[in-house]
Amino acid sequence: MATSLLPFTGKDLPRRNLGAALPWLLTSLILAMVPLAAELPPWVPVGFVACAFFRQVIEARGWRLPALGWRLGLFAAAVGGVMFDRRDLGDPMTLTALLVALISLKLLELHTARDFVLVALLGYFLLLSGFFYEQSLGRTLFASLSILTNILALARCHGAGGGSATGRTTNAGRRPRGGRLWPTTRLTLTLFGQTLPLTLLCFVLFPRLEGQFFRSLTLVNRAKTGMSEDLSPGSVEGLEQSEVIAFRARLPEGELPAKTLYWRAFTLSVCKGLAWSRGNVEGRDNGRGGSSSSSPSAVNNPPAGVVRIAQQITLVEPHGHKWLFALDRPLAVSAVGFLQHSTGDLSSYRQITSSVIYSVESQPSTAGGLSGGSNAAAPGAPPTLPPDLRANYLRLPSRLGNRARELAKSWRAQQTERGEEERTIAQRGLEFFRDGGFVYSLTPGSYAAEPAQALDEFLFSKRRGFCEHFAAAFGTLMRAADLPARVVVGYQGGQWNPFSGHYTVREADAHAWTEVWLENRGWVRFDPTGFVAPERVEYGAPAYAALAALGARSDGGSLETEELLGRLRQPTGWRWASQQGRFMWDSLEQQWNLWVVDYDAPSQQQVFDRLGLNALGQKVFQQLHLGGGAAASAHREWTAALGGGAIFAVIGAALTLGALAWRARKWWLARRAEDPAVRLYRQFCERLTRLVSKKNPPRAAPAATADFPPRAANEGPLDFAARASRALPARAAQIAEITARYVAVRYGSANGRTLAELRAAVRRFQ
Amino acid sequence: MQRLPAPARHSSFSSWLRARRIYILPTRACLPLLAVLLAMAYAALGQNNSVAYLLGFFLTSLAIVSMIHTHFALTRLRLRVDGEIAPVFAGKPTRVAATVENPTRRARVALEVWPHGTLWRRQRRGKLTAEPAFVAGVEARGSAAVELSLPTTQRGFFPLGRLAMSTIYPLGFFRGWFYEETSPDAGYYVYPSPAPAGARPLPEAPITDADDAALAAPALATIASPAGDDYAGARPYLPGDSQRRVDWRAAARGQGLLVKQFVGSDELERVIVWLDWHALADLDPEARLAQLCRWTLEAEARPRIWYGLRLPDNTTTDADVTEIAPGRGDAHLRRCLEALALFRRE
Repeated sequence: MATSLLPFTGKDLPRRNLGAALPWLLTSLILAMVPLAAELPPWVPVGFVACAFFRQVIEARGWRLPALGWRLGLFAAAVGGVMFDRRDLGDPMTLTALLVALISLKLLELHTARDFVLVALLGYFLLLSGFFYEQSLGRTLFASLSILTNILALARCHGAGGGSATGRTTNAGRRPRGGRLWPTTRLTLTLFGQTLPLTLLCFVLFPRLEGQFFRSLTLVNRAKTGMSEDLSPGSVEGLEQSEVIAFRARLPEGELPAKTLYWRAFTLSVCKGLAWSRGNVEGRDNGRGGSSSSSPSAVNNPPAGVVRIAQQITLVEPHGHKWLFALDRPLAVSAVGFLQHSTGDLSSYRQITSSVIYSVESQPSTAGGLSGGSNAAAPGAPPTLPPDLRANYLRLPSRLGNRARELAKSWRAQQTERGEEERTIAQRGLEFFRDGGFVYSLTPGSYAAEPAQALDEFLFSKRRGFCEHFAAAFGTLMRAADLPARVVVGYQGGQWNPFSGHYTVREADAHAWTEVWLENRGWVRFDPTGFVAPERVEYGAPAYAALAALGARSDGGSLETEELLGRLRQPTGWRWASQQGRFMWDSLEQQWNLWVVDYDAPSQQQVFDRLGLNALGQKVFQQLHLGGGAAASAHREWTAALGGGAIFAVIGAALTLGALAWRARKWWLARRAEDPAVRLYRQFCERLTRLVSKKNPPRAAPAATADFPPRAANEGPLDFAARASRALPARAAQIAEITARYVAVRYGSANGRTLAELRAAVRRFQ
Repeated sequence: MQRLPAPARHSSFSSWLRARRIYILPTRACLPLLAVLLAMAYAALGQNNSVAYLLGFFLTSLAIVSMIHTHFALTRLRLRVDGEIAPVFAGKPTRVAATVENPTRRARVALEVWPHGTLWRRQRRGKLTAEPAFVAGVEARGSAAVELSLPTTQRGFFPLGRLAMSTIYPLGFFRGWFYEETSPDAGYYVYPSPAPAGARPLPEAPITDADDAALAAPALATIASPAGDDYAGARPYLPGDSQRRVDWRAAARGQGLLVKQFVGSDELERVIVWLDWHALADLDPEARLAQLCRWTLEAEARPRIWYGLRLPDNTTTDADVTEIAPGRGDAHLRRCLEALALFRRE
C-alpha cells in the first residue's frame, strides 16, 4: 500500500462543480487581498482583480484558457513589474507582491480540481502575509470572512450541494429547488463551528517557547508610527491628526482626572532653543543612578506612604524604538529586560518590534501651576540634584538671543527682589505664555531652521505653535532664568473605556511638557500648553481640534463652543450609542491583544497554573523520578510535553467520545426498534432461567442446566411455558398469565393496555 | 460423443454492499496543505506571530474535522448490484448497473463507485483501468442509479469481485472509501472479439437435414414427409426450442424432453452448418476463436441456418471434441459464444 498512498482523483471531478465553486474562490481571494492592497504597489491588486474577473468571464462564456505562451509572458511581465517597482528582494512586500502575481496567473490556468485546491491554499498564504503586518482583531475578523468563503468554495468544488444529476432520484418529491447554496453554506458554517473549539484548544495548549527563533530572519520591521527621538518644530506635527493607537493602559483603580494623565516616554535634556534633544546628560550617572529593572534608582525611589498607581500597558503598535510609556512618574516596572533611568524614563534593552505588555507602578508627579499646586514639599527627605547634573540642566545654547535671556533674567530678578520662592519664576513664565498673545495652533507655519533663532521668532513675533513649541520655549526660558529644566515627551490624555477599565491613547495625544527643578521639591511638571489652551489638556487633542475648528468658523461663538463641550462631556443619542460601540470594540481589541496577540510562554504558564496543569505535571514528574520537580527546566520541559501531549490526547478523546456516542446512538436506535413486548418476554425468560437454577442447589447445577436449557429460538412460547411450569410448578399460574398476555400482545389484536399488563406481570415475576 | 458444456454460471444475481468498514487516507491535496502549514509554523515560531498560530491551528483543525465529515459522508450507504451484466466482446467496456441507496435522512453527494483495486493500480501503472462512476448526489432516503464501465481486454468469465465506493467530500483533503465482495456468482462474460467480417466466408457446406440428420439429431431422421402441419414425430430438446412444442406428456412418462415436430414447418428447410475449430488449422488459437465468433454471429444473422459448434475438449490436446448441437436463437447463440469465451480458460 506504500505506493498507493495519497490517492487523488480530484481531477476527475466534473467541471460543473468547478464552475459553481469558482466565483466563491475568487471572492475569497479578493477578500484576503483587501487588507494588503494598501501595502502593495497599486497595479498589483488591480491586476489581480482583473485576472479574477477575466477568469470568471472565461468560465461563464465557456472560452478556452489562455495559451501557455500568454501565461508565461504575463507572468514574466508581472515579475518584472514587481522587480522594477520594488527591486529589494528582501522586502517582505516584494514577496507578497510576487505571491499575488503568482496567484493571479495560476488563476488563468486553473482547470482541474487540483489547481483549485492549490489556489485555495494559496489564499491562506495571502492571509498569512497580511498578518505579518497587523494582527488586530478587526483584521482577523475580516480574514475569517475570506476563510468562510474559501471553505465554501472548496466544499462546492468537491460536490457539496451537488444535485443528483447523474443519478435517478427515486424520491422525486423531495428534490430541492433553487441554487443549492444553502446546504453548502450550512456545511461551511458547521465545519467552521466544529473547527473553532479545536483551534482554540490547540492555541491554548500548544507549547510556546521562550524567546524568538530565527530572529535574524525577522521579516517585517514594523516601525512606522510614533514620535522621533528629538523635539524640533514639526516633529510631533504629523502625529497630531493620527488616530492610530499608541498604547492601552489598564488602570485597576479606575479613571483618573484628565489633568493628571501625563504619559511619560522620554526626557530631553539638551537645549538648543526651540529644539531639544536627548543627549547624554544623565547617562554619566549610570553608575550611581538606578538603571536597573529590579531596584528603581534612588532619585526616583519614593518614601513609603506615597500613592502608587498600578497600570498594565499594552503597546499595540510596536514603534521600533526602545522607550516605553508609563503614567508620570514611573516607579517600578515588572518585566525583565526593561530598565529605568534616573530621569524617570523607562526603556527596553531591545528595540520594540512586536507588541509588548508590561506592568508598571507610578507615583502621581507633582504639577506646578499658577496657583501653586501643592505647595507642601514632598514627604520625606528633600531631593537633591548633584551639582554636575545641575550644571548640565542649566546649559544653554551659545547662540541664544539676548532678548530671551533678558526676559528670563527679569523674572529671576523680580523673584530675588521680592524674596519669593523659585516657583514664582515658573509662574511668571506661564503667565507670559497665557497673556502674551500666544495662539495654540496645529498649523503654526514654519520657523527658522536654527533653533535659537527660531526661539526668538516664536517668542516675540509669530507666537503660534503647539505643545512642543511651548514646552521647548518654556524650558529654554527657565534655564535662562537659572532654573534647571528639561522637556518631557509623551502623551497627554487618552480615552477612558468603561467596559474594560483602560485608557486608549492615540498618536494624536502626543504631547510635550516641561519639568523644572525646584529646591526642596524636586522635578515639578509645568505644562505651558495647558495655560495657552486649557481645553487641549482637559478634553484631549481630538476634542480640542474640533473646538478649534468651531472657533475658527464662528469666530469664537461661545454658545456653540459650550454646546460642543457639553456634547463632549455628556454625549446623547446616536453619538452616545456610537461612543459606546467604539468603547466596546476598543475593549474587545484590548482583550484580543491580551489573550491572543500576546499569548506567549509566560502567559501560557499563567493559564496552565490557573488550570492546575503545572502542578499536575510536577506531580507526574516526581512520580516518574524524571525531573525531580524542583528544576525550572523540568517544569518547562513538562509544559512542552504536556502541551503537545494534551493536543493529541484531546483530539483522541474527542474522536473516541464521538465514536462512543455513535455506538450508543446505534444501540439506542436498535433498542427503540425492538418490539417492547419481545423485550419484556426476553426479560421474563432470563428471570425464569435464573429462578430454576436458584431452586436447584449449585452442585446440581450442571444437571439443572441440562434439565432446563434456556428457551431456544425455535421453541414457541407455549411449549416453553409448559416446560417451565413442569420445572417450576409453584409459579405455573404466573407463567401461564405472562405467556398468555405475551401471545395476545405479539400475535393477537392487543392494545396498549395489554402491553402495560404484560409489563406489570413481568415486573411481579421475580 | 456429444457433451454439453459446463453449466453456465449464473449471470443473474443480487448483491448488497454496505459500508461496514470505512478507510481514509490523505489525498495529494494534502501536500500543498502541508506546505501552507509549514509556512504558518515558520511565521508562528519564527515571528512569534500569534495570529499565525491561530491560522495554522485553524487549518489543521479544519482538515481533521473535514476527515470526520468524510467518514460520515459514507456511513450507512449501500450499493446494490443486481440483475444481469450484459456480455460484451473483448475490447468493449462492460457496463454494470448499480444503485446507490441512502437509507438515512441526510442527503449524500459526490460519490464514486469503482471496482476496488483499479485506482491503486493506476498509481503504479500510470493509467486507469476503470474510470470510477461519479454520483453527484443521493437524496435522503433515496437512491441513485449509477453505471460502471469496466474495460475488457480478454475473453473469459470475470467475477465482478470487490466494488468500492469512495468520496473526497467535503474539502478534498481526505479520501474515504469502503469495499465489499459482490456475491460469488456475480460476473460477466467477455466473448472473443470477432474477426473482421468477410475475411473468411461462412462454411456453407449445405448439409441438408436429410443428408446429415443422423449427425445432427438422430431423432430427426424419421421426419421427411412434406405434408401439412401434421405431427411428424419428436426429436430431443435442444436449447432454443420453444417450450410450447415440448412434449410434456412424454417427459412425464420419463422419456426425457422431446420436441414435437410438425411437417410443413420451416424446420424442414433448415440448413445445418458446422463451425469447426479444426477447419481453421492455419490460425493460432485466439484467431480461430475470433473467426468462430464471427461465423457464429453471421450464422445467427442469416435465416434458416442452424449452426453447431465443434471445439476440442477443454484440455490442451485437440483430440477430444466437444460439440454443441446445431440450433439457433438467442439462447443457442449465447451458449456458443459462452463456450468460445470459456474455451481453455479454466
